[in-house]
Amino acid sequence: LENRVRQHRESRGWSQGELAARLGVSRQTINAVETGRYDPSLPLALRLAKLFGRPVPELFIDDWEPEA
Amino acid sequence: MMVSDVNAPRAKRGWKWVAGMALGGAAAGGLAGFLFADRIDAMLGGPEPDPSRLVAFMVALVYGATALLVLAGLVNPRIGARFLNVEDADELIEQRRQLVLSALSMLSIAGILLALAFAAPAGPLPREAALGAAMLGFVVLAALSARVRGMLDELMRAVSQEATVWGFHLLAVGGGVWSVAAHLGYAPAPQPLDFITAAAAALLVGAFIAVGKRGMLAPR
Repeated sequence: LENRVRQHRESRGWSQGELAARLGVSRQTINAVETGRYDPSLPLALRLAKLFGRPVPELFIDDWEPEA
Repeated sequence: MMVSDVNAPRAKRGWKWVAGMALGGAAAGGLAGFLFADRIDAMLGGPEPDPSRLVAFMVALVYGATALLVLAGLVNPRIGARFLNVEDADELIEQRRQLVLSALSMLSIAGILLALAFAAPAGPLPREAALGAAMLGFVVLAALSARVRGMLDELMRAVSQEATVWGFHLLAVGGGVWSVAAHLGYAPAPQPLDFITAAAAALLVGAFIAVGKRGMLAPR
């Protein structure tokens, strides 16, 4: 799943460690999310959205569209 | 040639390094196993070669060596970060407690396998001592696993679950094929020790598959 976590983190001047500490996860998890090696759980995605003040679909881009 | 190697993209150069290390390690391990198999088997106490004890011993060595590498890396995180394939020394420092407990878990598994590999009647370790050591190892392993589980965040919990699933499938397929072959008389039946060794080996291989599939084995 493509995501814009890195852009939002960097726009706030936070390091991966700082973001990890704010979310209560490891720096490894943030790195894995940003590099697309791990899709976060729904609770973590919601926390990221809340922290960045953006809706989840703006952070995580899914191309899937429902059939008409 | 040297200049182009040095200027190669880091990941590409890293993969070559990892591949070289893997091939070198496999070759050295194979050669050592070939050269010292008789001596190791004699140490294990068998009058005749006992593949079950030998394989248990070898898997114990892999667990023990891995645990010692992790602990050595934690003693000096700056150097450890180079050979433990983490982002930087801080990552080792941040995860020190978890890594220490994981290394102790691996040493427990190594201890269980060693106790059983060296157990009487073929080995020099009295049966009661081997039983005590194995039981103690299982209790320590269970306690450490429970403690580590509480320290995992969601990524490592997911990786841990995937490793367990891979380990189970490897054990089911490998053990299943072997058991079918043995049941039908095409192969010798697995020994009880083989089951424990296979479970330990499957878990280790499963862990490598799980982290490898997530690209976490790629050199940083």
